[in-house]
Parts: sequence; structure tokens; C-alpha cells
Amino acid sequence: MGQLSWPFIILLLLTIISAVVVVAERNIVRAAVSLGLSFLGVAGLYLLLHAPFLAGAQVLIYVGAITILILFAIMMTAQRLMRPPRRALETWILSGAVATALFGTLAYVIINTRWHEVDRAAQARPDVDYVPVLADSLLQTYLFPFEVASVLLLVALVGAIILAKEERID
Amino acid sequence: MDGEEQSVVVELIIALVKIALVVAVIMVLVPFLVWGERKYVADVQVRIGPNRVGPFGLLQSLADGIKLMFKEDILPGHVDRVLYFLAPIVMMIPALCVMAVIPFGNQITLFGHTTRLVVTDLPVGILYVLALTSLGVYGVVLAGWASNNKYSLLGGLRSSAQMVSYELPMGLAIVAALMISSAKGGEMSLVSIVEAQKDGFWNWNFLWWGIGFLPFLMYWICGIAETNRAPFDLPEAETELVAGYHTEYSGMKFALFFLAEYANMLNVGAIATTLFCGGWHSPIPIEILPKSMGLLKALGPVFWFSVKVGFFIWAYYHLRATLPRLRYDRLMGFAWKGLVPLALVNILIVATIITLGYREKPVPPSTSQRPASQAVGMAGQPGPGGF
Repeated sequence: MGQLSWPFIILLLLTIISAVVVVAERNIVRAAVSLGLSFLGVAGLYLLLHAPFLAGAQVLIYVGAITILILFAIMMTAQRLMRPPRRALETWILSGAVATALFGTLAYVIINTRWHEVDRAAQARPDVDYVPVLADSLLQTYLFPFEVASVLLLVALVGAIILAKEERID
Repeated sequence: MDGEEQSVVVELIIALVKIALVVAVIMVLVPFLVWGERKYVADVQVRIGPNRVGPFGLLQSLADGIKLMFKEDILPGHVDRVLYFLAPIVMMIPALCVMAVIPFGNQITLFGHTTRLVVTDLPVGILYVLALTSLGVYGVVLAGWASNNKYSLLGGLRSSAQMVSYELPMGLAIVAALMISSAKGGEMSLVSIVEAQKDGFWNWNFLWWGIGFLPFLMYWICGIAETNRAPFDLPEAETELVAGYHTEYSGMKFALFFLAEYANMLNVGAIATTLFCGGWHSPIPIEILPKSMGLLKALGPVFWFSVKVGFFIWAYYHLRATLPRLRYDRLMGFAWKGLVPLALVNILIVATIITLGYREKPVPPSTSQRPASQAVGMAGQPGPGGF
């Protein structure tokens, strides 16, 4: 398990490089496509981790639905956004702070996780990607957080509709 | 080379042969599908159709293909080069990849090696199909945007909205099909879905309790919409949009869009066959056929599979020849106000029947008792056949 396998390295490069392109690319459509590519790389990583169901769901939802919706929204609102975004100092500071905080949190979690125990637990339950097991944990064990997440999505949906409506009344 | 290594090499060769076979069959079939469509539509409209190149005009599409191949590869000056180049590729690859999980026959034994007539039987087969078909939208959207042309952009926008909308009822119809199949002992892999429908056409999913035809029809309608075929061919409504998203494409790039469209038609037909019409099984089990019908008994699984897919291809032709194009708001209204609620109600009914105790075969043991070796096989799937 110690060394890196070449599929892992390829997927890693795909994910990271396209993620960098998402941020660095000034053309917003290309950035969105690159985001989809990055999601695809993550799906590949799930496959390497023996989780084909998760990989399929990742492609279906993130690559096939969310990124497409982003692209769609970009094209509907089109021409104004085609201009490269302005890069003011406060934007730099704000996004820099958010990025640093996020990086710090993730690094903290990664460093403090005892990966050997996680590995052992995973070996003890080789069936975690079996669909009924996933269904059990989503719809029984973690039913409440699952439903709360869907309420959150509903709130976002209603909010988006209200925003769009207000614009039309003006 | 020891025995184990040798068997890995043999597996690899078998997998490569199967992949090459599937791709070759699609590539060879498409020109004839185009010819068949032109002939059929011509017949319906009391025209003659292609009849100059080859017998009955059979080679017309091949000639067209050769023409497209030798055409100059035009790159319009106003396009986004990267995405313009990428779009036809993105369209074509998922269309071919979907074929990988479709079982087109039973096991066969060649040169002492037994193998299934499917490139790879993924444990999450149907999810893989859904995931890949959802990628097809990219080709349309990117082509529409990268062409930097208002007709293309409008075509691309229409198409992406249409495909995203119809993906939802399609997914719901497939959920119902999976529930029906799991009541019969099938799982998510396409081979197990086909095997759950053996022993005669009365066991096929679309006849299940008189309600199976509902998800079947819904899947079929959504499949037509997903492939952008008439009567849902608004993305390329030539009277309003020139040629829609591929207006700016010519030569081999255009040919790729064309190939992808027909490959997707084959995919939808094959998935409909697999999910609802018993896959490679013959309508009447071969064992109970009388001896006098020896000819029917000799026909193999691949024949039955081809006949069923052929039926769906014919239905595509016939719908195109007989139905006018929908208006755009009707199209979207049909998906969101008609198909989605209907699909949800359908799921409810199917779930009710299953919960009320309908079981044709004993259900596989629940996950906690599932033998570890099997579970590992599900997740791991070693060898070139799996991931």
C-alpha cells in the first residue's frame, strides 16, 4: 500500500490541475468545464477506493447535473459575465482569508485523523459500498441529517425564486 | 509465465476483443441505420429515397462518410478553439462507453474459454449508464457555446434544458424498473436484471402486474428526448435554428455528432430491451417450444437481442416519419407537469405492490448476512473485466 500507483497519480494530476484551471482561467465557460473535469477525477479516485456506486453518483450528480446547470446559468445570463472579472484588492484579501481558513481546517482534519484505524475499519467492512448498506445508513441511521440537508436545498430553491421574482417586478 | 499470469493475459485479450467487436459493430451499423432511416421515411412520404450508390442505395451512407472524411477540416475564425475541438469528442465517447455494460447475449465458449457477451458486468451497471448518458449534454452545450453563433447557442441552450429536464423522469422510470426487477431477484447490474426476466415474455418487466408498461413508455419517451430525435428534435429545428448546435461543424467533426446520435439511439434501444423486454431472452422459452419449430429454437440470444433493439430503431424511424415537432413550451411542460408527477405516482404504486408482499422469488439475503467473499467481489471486481 506504501507506494503510489500510476492510475492514482494520473487521477490526482487530473483533479488538481483542472481545479487550478477553474480558479486561474479567466474565461468563465472554460472554468466551468474544467470544474467538471475535476469532478470526474474525484469520481476516478472513488473507483480506486473500490466505491463504484459513489463514483457513479459523483458523475451523475456533480458532473452530469451541477456543472451542466452552472454552464446553463452562465449561458442564460451570458454576455455580461463573459468579461473577465475585476480583481480588486478587497476581493483578493477576502477570498484569500476564506481559502486560508478552509485549507487550515482541512489540513487540521487530515493531520489529526488516525488513518491506520480508518483503514482497519474499512477492511472489516468490505461491503460499505453495497447499495442496501448505503441506503440503510442514509434512510435509517442518518435520516435526520439527510432530511435537514434536503430542507436546506429547498430553502435555497425558494430563495433563488424570490430573488428572480423581485428582479422582474422592478 | 505461470498459470495465474497467463489467465490474466487471456482475460485481457478477451476483454480487448469484446471492446473492439462492440465498437466495430456500432461503426459498421451506423451507415446502414442512416440508410434504413432515409429509405423508411422516404417510403412513408411516398418518395424513393437513396437508390444510386450500390444495390437499393445501400452504400449511400458509406459514400457520404468517405466524403466527410476527405472534406477540408474547417476551423471558423470566431470559435473558441479548445472547446470547439472538444465538443464532438465529448459527445462521442460516452455514447460508446455506455455499450460496455449492455449484455447482448448469454455465455459462450470459444477455444475453451467461457465468457459472457458483455464487455463488463459492473455491479452498479445501471448507475453507470445514467452517469454516462448525463455526460452527453456536454457535447451539445459546448458545441453550441464554442461555435460563437446565435443559432448554435440557442440550439445548445434548448438542448441542454431539454436533456436535463428529461433526464429526471428517465431516472425515475429507471428507479421503477429497478424496483420491479429487485422484486424478481435482480440487482443493479444489467446482467442480473436480464436474468431476472427469464422464462418467457410474461416475465418481462414491462408486463409486470399490468403496470410495468408505464415506466417502459416513460423511459422510451425520455429516451427519444435525450437523443434529440423527432418529435423532440427542437435543438436542431432546421426551420428556426439552421442546424442548431452543429451549425458551424463540417467534415469529420460533424460526422462525429452524427455517429454519436445514432450510437445513442442504439443505446436507448438496448437499455429499453435490457430493462423492460427481457434482454437476450427469447419470448417463449426454448425448452417448451415444440420440436417442429426447430428453426426458432436454433436462433441464439444475440438474435433475440438484435430483433428487440431493431424494433426500437424502427419505432424511432416511424415516430420521425409520422409525428410533427412539439412546440418548445409544450415540450418542457410535458416533462415537468406530465412525466415527472406520473413517474412519482408510478413509483408509489410499484412500491405499494412490493410492500404488500409481492415476491416472485426469494430476495437475496440482507446485507449483514451477505458472505464476505461476495461482497468483496462486488466492491473489488479485480481483473481487466471490471474497473
